[in-house]
Amino acid sequence: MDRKRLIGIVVVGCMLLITAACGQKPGVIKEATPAGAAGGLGGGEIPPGAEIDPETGELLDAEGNPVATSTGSGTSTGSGSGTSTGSGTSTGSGTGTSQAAPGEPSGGNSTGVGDDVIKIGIHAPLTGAAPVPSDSVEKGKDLYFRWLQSKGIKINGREVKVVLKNDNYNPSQAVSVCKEMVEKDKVFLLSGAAGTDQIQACARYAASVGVPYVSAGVTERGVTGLPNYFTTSATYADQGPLLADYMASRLGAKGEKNGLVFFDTPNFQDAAAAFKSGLRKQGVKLHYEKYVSKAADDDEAKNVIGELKAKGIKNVYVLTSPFWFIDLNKECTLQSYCPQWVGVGISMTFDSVASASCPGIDGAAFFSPFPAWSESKRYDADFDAAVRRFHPEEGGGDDFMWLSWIGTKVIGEALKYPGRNLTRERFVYFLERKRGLNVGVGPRLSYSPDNHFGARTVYVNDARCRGGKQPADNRWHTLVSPPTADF
Amino acid sequence: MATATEVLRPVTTREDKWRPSTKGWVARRAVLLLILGGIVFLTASVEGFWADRIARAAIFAVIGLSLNMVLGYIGQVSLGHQAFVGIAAFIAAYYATEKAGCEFEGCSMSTFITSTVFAALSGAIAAGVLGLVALRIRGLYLALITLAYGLVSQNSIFEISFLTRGGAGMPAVRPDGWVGDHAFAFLTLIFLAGVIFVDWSMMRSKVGRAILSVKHSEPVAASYGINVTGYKIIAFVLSGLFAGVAGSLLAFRNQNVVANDFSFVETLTWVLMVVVGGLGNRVGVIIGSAFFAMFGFILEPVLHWLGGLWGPLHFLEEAGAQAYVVIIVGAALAIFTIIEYPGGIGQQVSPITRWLGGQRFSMHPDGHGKHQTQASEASKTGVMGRLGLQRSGSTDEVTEASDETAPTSVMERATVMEQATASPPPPPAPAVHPDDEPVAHASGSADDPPGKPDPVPEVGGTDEGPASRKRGFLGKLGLQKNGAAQQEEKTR
Amino acid sequence: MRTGVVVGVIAGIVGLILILGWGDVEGPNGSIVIGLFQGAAYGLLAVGLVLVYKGTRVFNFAAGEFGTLAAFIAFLFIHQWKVVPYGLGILFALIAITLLGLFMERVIVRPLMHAPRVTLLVATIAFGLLLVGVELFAFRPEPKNLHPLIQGIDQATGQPVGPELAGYFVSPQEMVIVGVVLALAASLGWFFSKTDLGLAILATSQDAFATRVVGIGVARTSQLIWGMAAFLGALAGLLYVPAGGALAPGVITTQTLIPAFTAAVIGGMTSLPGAFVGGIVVGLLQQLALWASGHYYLGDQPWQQLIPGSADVAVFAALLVVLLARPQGLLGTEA
Repeated sequence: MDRKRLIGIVVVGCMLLITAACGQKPGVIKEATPAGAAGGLGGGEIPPGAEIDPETGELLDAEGNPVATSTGSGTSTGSGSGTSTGSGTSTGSGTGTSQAAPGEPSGGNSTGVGDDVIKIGIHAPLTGAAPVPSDSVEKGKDLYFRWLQSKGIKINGREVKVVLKNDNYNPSQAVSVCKEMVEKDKVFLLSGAAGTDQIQACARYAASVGVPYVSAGVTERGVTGLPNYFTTSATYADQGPLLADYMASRLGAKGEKNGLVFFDTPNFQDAAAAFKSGLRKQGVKLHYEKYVSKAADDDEAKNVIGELKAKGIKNVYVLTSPFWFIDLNKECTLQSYCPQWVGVGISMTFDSVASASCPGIDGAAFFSPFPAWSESKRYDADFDAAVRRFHPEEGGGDDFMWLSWIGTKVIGEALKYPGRNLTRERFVYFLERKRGLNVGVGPRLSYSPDNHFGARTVYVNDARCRGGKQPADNRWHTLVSPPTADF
Repeated sequence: MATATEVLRPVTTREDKWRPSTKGWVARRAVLLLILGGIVFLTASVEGFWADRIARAAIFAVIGLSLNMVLGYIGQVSLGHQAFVGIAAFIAAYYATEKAGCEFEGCSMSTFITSTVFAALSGAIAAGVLGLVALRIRGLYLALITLAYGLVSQNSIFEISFLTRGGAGMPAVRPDGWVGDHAFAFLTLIFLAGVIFVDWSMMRSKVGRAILSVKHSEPVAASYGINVTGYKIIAFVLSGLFAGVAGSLLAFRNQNVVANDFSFVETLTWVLMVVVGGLGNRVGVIIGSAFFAMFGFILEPVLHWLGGLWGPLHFLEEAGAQAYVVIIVGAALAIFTIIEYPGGIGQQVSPITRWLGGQRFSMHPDGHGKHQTQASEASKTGVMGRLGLQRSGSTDEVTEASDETAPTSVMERATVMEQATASPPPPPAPAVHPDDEPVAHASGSADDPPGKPDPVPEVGGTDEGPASRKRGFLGKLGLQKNGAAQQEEKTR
Repeated sequence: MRTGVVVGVIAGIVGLILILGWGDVEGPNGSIVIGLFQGAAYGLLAVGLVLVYKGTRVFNFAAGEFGTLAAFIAFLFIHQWKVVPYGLGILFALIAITLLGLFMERVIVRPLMHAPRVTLLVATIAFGLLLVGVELFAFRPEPKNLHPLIQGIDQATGQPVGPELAGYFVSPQEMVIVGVVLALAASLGWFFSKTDLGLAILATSQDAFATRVVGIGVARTSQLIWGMAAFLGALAGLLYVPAGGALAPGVITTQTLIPAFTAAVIGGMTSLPGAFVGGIVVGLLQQLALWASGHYYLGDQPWQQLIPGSADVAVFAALLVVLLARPQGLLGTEA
């Protein structure tokens, strides 16, 4: 009797191991980028930061307007957001860049900084409602720094070590892992990979303990004015008017019915308000507005698609969890009514979302701080080389590694400014006086003491599903990249 | 001078009730103090984030005691406890932030106390309503409806954004002077001590004995003149009160309340931690709850070590792996406990708790060698016997026997049955526990050795005692309808 | 007889609403059609729950995870490894989960055969949670997409294959679900009322000891029940996931299990046609609640925005009302 049970337990143990092993290779389905994918948009030499319209061959800036001169035409159209302070700063002003500015802090807290190492902490949702694959993030978290190390490059004589923790897509847990990284791992700064509520919660915690926090831009609510918080991409509110502009000029939204579908969280309210005011400026009407709860499931997706279909909505700004967006896409495919999706954010433009959402997501245009991974070679050849060197089993890597690469690259750059004497105070002081932080990929960043939302530009990525526009690989591709000048 | 109560009190049938000597008492008190002092010292000496985890463990212990009240003491399954804890947490945070303005100005201790009182009351009211429902719906159906209730709370109530601020969550600023993680951990430990005291003093009072008797058998309890309905409601309300306190503490511990904190998986984990702790066993439940709260953190270095050992196990080092492993190990542990050690942790530590409570140190439940066989039998029988059921007398022994020998023919089976019915079936409760007191006098049973089969099968509402089995025997062989019985079972 | 009356009444109400709201694109008609097919899916899962309840008098909370795990296994074979055609992947998943059901029976149900039913219920919860953990562990939490048995979209024209009812394209997958659930309810009904084995199972559930005495192996019927339960759970998952939302660990337990249980309870917990009827009722209630809460306003905000999750509230209310007012359900019979 007992032996039989023991055998049973052993059997289940083996089953677990086998199933676990089965799932260990998600990379199996990944394919190498088809040769020539980079040239898919028309080939030829493209000026840095500008883009050629695949249909017309015109040179475009971020808003999709034809670029008249080579650079610098896109001045300050984004000022309509009204929610951000100090928007419209130009690159030309050279104030504050001098190294010996008065009031420069000379000392301060140098936790996490050793003689030859700097420790930084990143939190990401590895489980929960919008999870990112932990093995990719784990491999990508310090890829850039390992690359630097292999080249013998140090940041003021130090290497960077990265600690990664899982925030479970839950703000409470985000705060708790951030606390752990600050107190136990003694990190110098914190960074959030994705997830608005988690980034906001952890940023506020970081502010309360004086730890610098660097993340992609999400909401402005509750983080505006935090002394240690820096965004490395445009916030949702800043992107709202851009998106309205894009819809009007590129998607012909003026003559069509438009809608927005948002998760009902206060952290998206600034995004909705900025988008709506942007639409008004463009003279575009909004015909459908829906706020669904974070707990929405596929029943609600069916309901929303039914309503969109009944009302004939053509363009929809969607800001929800990627998970529910997949539900929407499955449903709209079955109903043969997939509107032109537009949106902002980071996790929506993951390739896993595209491949799970195809064909419904085909042609969706999403603003992203980064160019699509499928075109990484065009923007940063080092990434591909680094992946092949350190993780040959991964092929060309994936979008999470790409995202981590760019994010850590910006942090690495920012860590250089204070010089050898690196303290949290000096890090903040120098970063907030930095104009034109540029790592060659991602938005160009300019901060000021009043404005820590340093980016105004975005990339436009679109999803290409099989059977749609070429190259049809169920992935995101970059349609428009930002001009070199801020606007 | 002997008063009436003193005359009635010595209900025990044991003549040789053993008492420790003065020295023994000193030793026991010293060990107890050492344990308590150890907890206090540990909390004070660890780093801040560990103190924060200790606070979480203490809150889980309060939640465990709350669930134990329903699950262990009155034997009803509540799968919707996240609703009580969550509602209380949101009410506490709402009061502190929206009414008292703590978000920007800081919080006074009196605000914290008021929030906690409101939270406790809300939990008590919500659980009281569930108690009313539980009078009509029981057993499996109660489990189902509480689960649905928990899901409604999670998906509807906790998402009402003007009350809860949606996904961003409602802030809950800790009271002045208790902002630090160490200080707040001590605050939660104080509350835990309070809850333990209330639980302990209630269960050794008339109310507690009445509640336990209700669990054992409602008809018997009623025949002793016990107000069955009233005591059931009291147990539910008290459970809600504890859940409310836990909710408030959780809100201030997290400093931000979001719906995600009270998820489906969370509530199931709470049930499992009480089961693993040992139903109805206070010490076991506290240890089990604290273990489930801490488990993930303890696991982290272990996983790192394992992941470093061997290439294919490398994935264990990933930051996300911990979350999965916690679920798997927790659930497996619960299954193992249910099947093999129904007494849970409480049973394993019972020699120590009994010793601390003033008995001899021994490895078997009631301190007398002669009961050893029965104790082991009890642990086998009482699969979650604490839930209120034991296998009924003789018939089950037959089934077990035939499991081993597997008689092949009908004739053989019939013989086995004949033997079974021929041998006089042991009288249900007294036979198994000759020393046990009459049901209504089941004093101090909360700390009784776990694993002891409860005398009368009642809880699930679906099991039938030997008598009813026999009654329906012939009819059922012919697959006769017994609709009335089934209907009764659902509505009871 | 009663079945006919109940079905007739429900069909009458549905038909009346459909006729009254015909042609109104913003009316409830689309929601009703969605609800009907959604409800059939609940019915499919509910059939498995009813089977276990009939056979062992216990609620199987692991049923949802049988389905999710089956969908994951099918996904693994069909989309991730791309080693087998769709049908074979489904078959592998069904076999694997049926074996899992037998394994669960041996390791969990058998030792607890004489335990209180509530104990077994907690054990099934623990097993379900264990499966969620295994799914997270083996397949990672990122959402996936399992394609339907029959593509809902014509590859050449891009148009839906299914018919359009009140503005809602019924996908072939949903029609398959309706067909399967009706066939299951009928064949299982026949199995329990006409075959010796079915009667034996019912006998076991009512009196295991007595059944054993007359020569029916309790262990064998228990194996049969749990094997079938796992098979039905897997079937429900494999059919429902492609028609529903994204595939992620625990998705059926969190989204579908409670509506399915409610469907079973409304149907009477022991009635197989009742499970189907209950499923339809639950699906309709959910979608009508969603429609109404999005359609009616308090001030300038729709109700949905004030109180989200109206579908869950509707399910809970239905469950509470049925259990308090009519615990034997609409079509509850004795076994």
